[in-house]
Amino acid sequence: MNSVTIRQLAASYADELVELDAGLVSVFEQFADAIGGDLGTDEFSAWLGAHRHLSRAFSDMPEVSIHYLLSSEEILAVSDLATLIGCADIALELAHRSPEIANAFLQAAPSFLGRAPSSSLKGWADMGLRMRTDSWKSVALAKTFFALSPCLLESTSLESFRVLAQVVTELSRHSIELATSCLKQAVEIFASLNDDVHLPFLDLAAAIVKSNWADAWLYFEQVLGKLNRFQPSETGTFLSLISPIAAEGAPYERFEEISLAVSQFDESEHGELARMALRLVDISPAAAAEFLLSAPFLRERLTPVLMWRWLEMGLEKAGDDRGLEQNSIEELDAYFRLQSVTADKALALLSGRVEFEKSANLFRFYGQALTGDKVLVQPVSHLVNRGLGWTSGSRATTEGRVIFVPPYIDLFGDIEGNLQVYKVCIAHQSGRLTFGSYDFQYDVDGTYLKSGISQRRDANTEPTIVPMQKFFNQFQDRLLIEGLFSLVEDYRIDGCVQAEYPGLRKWSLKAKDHEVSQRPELLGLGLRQVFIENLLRASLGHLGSMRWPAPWKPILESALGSLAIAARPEATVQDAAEIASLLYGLATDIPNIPAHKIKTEWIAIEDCREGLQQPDVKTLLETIDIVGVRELDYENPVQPVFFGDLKPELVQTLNALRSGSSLDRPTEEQIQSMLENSVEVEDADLDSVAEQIEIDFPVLVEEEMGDEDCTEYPGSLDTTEVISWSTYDEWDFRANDYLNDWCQLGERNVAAGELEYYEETLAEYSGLVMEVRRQFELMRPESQRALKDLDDGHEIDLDKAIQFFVDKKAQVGPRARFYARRDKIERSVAVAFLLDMSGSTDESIDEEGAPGRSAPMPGTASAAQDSGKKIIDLEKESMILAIEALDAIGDDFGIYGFSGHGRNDVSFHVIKELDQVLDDTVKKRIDSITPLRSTRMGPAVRHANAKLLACPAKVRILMLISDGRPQDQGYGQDAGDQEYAIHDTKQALVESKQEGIVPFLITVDKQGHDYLQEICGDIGYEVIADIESLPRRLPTIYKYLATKA
Amino acid sequence: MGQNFTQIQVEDFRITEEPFYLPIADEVALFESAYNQHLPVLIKGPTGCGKTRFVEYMSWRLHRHVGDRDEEGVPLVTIACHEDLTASDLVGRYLLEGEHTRWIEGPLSRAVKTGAICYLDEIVEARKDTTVLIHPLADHRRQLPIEKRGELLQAADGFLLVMSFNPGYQSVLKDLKHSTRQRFIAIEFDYPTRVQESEIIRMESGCNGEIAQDLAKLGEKVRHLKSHGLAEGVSTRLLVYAAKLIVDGIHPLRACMTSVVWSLTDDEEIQQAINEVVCSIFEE
Ligand SMILES: Nc1ncnc2c1ncn2[C@@H]1O[C@H](COP(=O)(O)OP(=O)(O)OP(=O)(O)O)[C@@H](O)[C@H]1O
Ligand SMILES: [Mg+2]
Repeated sequence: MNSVTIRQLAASYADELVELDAGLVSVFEQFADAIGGDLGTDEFSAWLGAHRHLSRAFSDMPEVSIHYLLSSEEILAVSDLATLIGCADIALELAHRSPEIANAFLQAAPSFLGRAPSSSLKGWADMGLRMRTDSWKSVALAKTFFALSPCLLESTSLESFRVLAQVVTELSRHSIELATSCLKQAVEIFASLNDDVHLPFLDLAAAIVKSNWADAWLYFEQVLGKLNRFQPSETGTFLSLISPIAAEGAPYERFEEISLAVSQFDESEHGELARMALRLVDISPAAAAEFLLSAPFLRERLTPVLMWRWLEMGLEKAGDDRGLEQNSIEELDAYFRLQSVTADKALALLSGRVEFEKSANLFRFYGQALTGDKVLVQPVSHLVNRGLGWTSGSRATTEGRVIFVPPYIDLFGDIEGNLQVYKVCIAHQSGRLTFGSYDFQYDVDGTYLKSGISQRRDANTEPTIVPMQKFFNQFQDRLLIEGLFSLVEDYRIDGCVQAEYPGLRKWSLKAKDHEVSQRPELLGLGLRQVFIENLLRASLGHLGSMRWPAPWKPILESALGSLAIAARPEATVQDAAEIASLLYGLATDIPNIPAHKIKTEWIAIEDCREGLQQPDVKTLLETIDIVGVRELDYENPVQPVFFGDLKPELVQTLNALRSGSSLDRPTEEQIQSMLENSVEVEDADLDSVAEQIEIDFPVLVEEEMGDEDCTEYPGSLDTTEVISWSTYDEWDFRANDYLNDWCQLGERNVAAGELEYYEETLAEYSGLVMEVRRQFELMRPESQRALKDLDDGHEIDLDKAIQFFVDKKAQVGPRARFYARRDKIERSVAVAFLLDMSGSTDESIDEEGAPGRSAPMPGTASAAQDSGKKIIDLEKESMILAIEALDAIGDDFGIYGFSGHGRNDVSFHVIKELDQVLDDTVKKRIDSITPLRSTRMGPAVRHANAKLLACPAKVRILMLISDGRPQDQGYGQDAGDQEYAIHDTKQALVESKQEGIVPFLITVDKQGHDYLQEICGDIGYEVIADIESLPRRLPTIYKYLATKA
Repeated sequence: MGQNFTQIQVEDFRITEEPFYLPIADEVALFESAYNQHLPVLIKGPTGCGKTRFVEYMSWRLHRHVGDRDEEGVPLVTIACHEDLTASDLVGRYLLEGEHTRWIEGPLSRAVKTGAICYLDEIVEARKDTTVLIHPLADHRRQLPIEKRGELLQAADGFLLVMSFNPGYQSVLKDLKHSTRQRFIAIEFDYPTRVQESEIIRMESGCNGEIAQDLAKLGEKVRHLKSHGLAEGVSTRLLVYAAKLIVDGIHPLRACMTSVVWSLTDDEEIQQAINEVVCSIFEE
């Protein structure tokens, strides 16, 4: 079209425009030429028509038509006139709602059309329009939408774009701010994510918006960081997995947790993992989520193939895949949450991994049976935690008293096999204890070898505390001799164990095969280490896996010959030490040069001749040229899992500390110097180990603190005089032994108070008292027995009657004693109540302290509710009830209290002796029971035991009534060390049991369950939170105890 | 009428063939001395450790003076004590015979008269009044009062009162009165050592030495569990049973399972532990 026509048309249009808005004209004129150049006359007219339409419709708002003008050229550049005119129509429509939106639309349209077909134009506009509601914020959102659209479309498909718009619109219904932020964030997200992830990403976004819209921003903000955790090609799969989970209402954290869980997997396994979860997600999205969260735990125990199996087992259990009932869905979720027995079982079955804790008792009994004496079996972490110098948390070992085993074993794929490895571990450690690994004596001959120690030149004369130390001192290279000794000794023990337990042989061999397969590569070691490693392999029965330079064959052969002596049936630890000494002689001459540098033939050594041969090592070594090769630092080989560290020096020291009389116990300095020279403790741990030994074996420091303790705390707070002192041992669980005569216990009479207290309490609880008495009286009929040979009674004993008549005929004339009667058995029960009178009983009981409180019985005051009532009051009141009840049944009972300060002043307060009659003195004493000092339960229990034992009753019961944990000064390493106190108390109660006393614990502390469980083990206990439950519980407990015994 | 059983009077029961008994310590000498000096003997020990066997052996081994003759072996009267055992059961009673009555002597009276060893097995089970009956018999008097007849029996020279009891499982309610206890010398029995026990097992069952040793080893190990879960260790008797089953062709694991594991306890954990010990000692 020629410019003349254009100008004419434009000019006439401009005239038109002037009437509308003079400003518009100049803008129009700017563009008219450019646009007109590309269009025909008709087309140009059409364009003008469109603009006319726009400007007329919004004559008061010229911006719309200006924007149209501004965008027209660009639109034409990417599209055609029809589209351009379409734009105008749309803009017109938009502008009716909001001119601002129309502007934004027109502004973005050219770039949009550059990226999307013109057919999508209308849809696009509708998207923006849907975002607009009544508020101005929504307008802003829609504007933002149009403005960002081109940018978004640059990195995503039109389809995703549409979905995004939906999501944003949906979100904007809840919060326009959030929607706006998310929309903006989407630009970056699309730009960073792979195309194929966009839709899954949006699906999840939609799900989140639907179920937890408030989380949407978190998701948009963090998703990029989280998605990195997935293997890139699987990201989409994971997202589409999580969508249904989120749709079910799972919060955003779920996504976070799941991505974390997945990230613990090797990326190569992400696909497999996703497929597993996909299998579940249709059935129950929640189960799929649980599965993904459990996956790392499962993977530790199962291979992917087995994980599939485990998954299928869970599904099988739930039945048909689809249409599950609600409760079986829950079952399914629990399965994958690993909170069902079936899940555990299935896992155990598949993984074969055996965990110590799951079969702890079995292992304990097993260890006990093999070892005798009193031996414990514990997971090795206990030992590592004790800080005595053992640091490996995965290998079995012993410290002389306790057998330590790995926390779990999964060498083999089946439970049976791994269980057997546990047995192998325990048997070996038990072997060390029973076949005398720690019984080495200095300069004593073995069965087969004479002590050669006197010939050693390196002799070191430093004073020593244990023979092993003295022996090691004779060698310059302590590390080497220690490694050799451990190797030989474990070989010897292994031989003993094989002979003793032939049934274990098969498994022991399997474990060794496994061990050998894990040994380090020989060529990576120094030559001396190769030598030792070869010996270790030989000791594991794997001669075939040895390799050695051919020219030096005689050296290794000689070593093997010596080693073999340790396997002779009667070999002792002395022999082992001699063999180690011989091997030391060979090993020190072997330079620790890198094995791979030795260019010679390496051969296998298949068999060896037992016996002592003395090759000329020096000459042999000269056969290969190794001059100038640098030596490596020597390290002992790592002990096999089931052997573990031997640490003979340390164990001998600990044993000396355990059993020695206090005179010949090593002193602190001696231990310190032993540790410094020893190679059994890493340098870094030296001080802490020395410290720990001191703490664990506190008798060492007794002298220092003995008197001090006494002088500092002369007598306790109460003024009554001590009637008698007794001494008791205390149980130190760390040492697994008693501390001799550790505690001083003073017995005191409680001063008499007022009788009124007793009587008032009775009055207050009159209803309760009657109830308790009635309950106790009901106990009687059960304790009847038939009496025979009576002059008179309820029934006739037929046998006896016949006998009588025969006798009468024979004129022997016995008395007619053929009656029988059922009668009350002569009860012979003694019960000692032991009350906690520690300071903490002064605490008042909070009102809520009585869960499940029953309605007060008529006639009872509502007991503990009066504010200000203290634990000690409850104890006293309970005691009064108990007294009344026991009086009804006629059993012997004693009432004692305990408190104290420190081990030298445990006070034992007598309220009523077992054989004392219940008189007013006793009743008055109850009034005077007051909280005193701390709680050292052990000695008090022991003293009460002694009292009960002195009582002639047949059934003896000890009831310990306490408010809290046993705590006292020096009762454990520090105030926070409750374990010590708990163990001692437990031990004291175990002693009760062993003496035939039935111990029972009652606590009035509602938190009592925590520690009672620990203290009691199989000893009975009960938490009584309020006094009202006492009448119901006391007779039941008492009846149970008195008849059980 | 074909009689395929023997019926003898209790006081005539003698052990004619030497019972196998492996002395554990000096119990044989002790018993001999006690017998010669009329000192009643109390044998203490866990179940199945050879108490009964020992008494049988001693009864065969001892000899007594009858008139001026030295006689090989002493008759053995065994009385198993139980709750309902009365004095008449021990001493004797009248029986009706038509219109008349006849005095039937109890086993204790017969033993006292004939000079036999009277073995009261599990004495703690007997009632208190019954135990008191033996008091005069168990001290220097050596007399048994027969109340119903107004008689007093003076024990014959060869008579000896022996009783046994197992201190392990007797409850606090059942204990011997001190006045009873202190009339006896007490020989304490314990399980034999591993070597002794394997010899016993071998001799009793006819099994080979290796099996005997393994079973004795098992016994030792299982006894380590006593008071660590087990109330009582495994008895020699059970080990002999196991050996007998093995000799008869039962697999050792199975034999031990039936005669050791299940007989000892019902606690599953301990059963499993014992079973693991069995499997450690015997190969599959
Ligand atoms: N020293 C021994 N010599 C030979 N056999 C023995 C010995 N000790 C035990 N036995 C074997 O043990 C079995 C059981 O012994 P015995 O019946 O004497 O036990 P007990 O101590 O009387 O047991 P209980 O207390 O249960 O009656 C015997 O049959 C025998 O086979
Ligand atoms: Mg017997």
